Amino acid sequence: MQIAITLLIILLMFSALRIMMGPTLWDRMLGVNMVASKLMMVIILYASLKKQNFILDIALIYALLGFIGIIFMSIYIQGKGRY
Amino acid sequence: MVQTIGMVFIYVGIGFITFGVIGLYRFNHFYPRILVASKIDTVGFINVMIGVILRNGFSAFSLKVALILILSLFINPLITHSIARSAYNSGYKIRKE
Repeated sequence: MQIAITLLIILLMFSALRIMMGPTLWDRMLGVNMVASKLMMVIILYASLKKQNFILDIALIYALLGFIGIIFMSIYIQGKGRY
Repeated sequence: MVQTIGMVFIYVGIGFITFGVIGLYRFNHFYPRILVASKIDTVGFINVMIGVILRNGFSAFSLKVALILILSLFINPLITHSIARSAYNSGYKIRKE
């Protein structure tokens, strides 16, 4: 289980590199989405490793807040700054 | 036995996510990149969650993980659709070579 968490963190680093070197604005938003998804997986694997039930609430809240944030960012960019 | 099957599911999911990250650097336009990244990322997420559910058996932990899985199956395509629609409506087109 620790090997799986380590591999996922390495993949998270590589997909976070896309946020820095993305040529357009939407590439950076895609990178934010992928980092959020992989971080959710890391949190759930850590909760399964520690056998604690309350760590899963953090993943649930993280998923909902990431959804709201990325939806509103894309609407804001689509309206060219006017919302 | 069930623990081993769950571990195999988790590693298969991590393999799918590795293909997604390779595709994120392999393609050089935006639309193929968002297609490959989002679709393969969702498959990897489903595999890892099935592995965690198999490892923990029938309990409250598995119920909560299943709730997160169902929620994420709705949320992940919505986010991808929203980003692609924002890029298309803002006038970003792939130029022909």
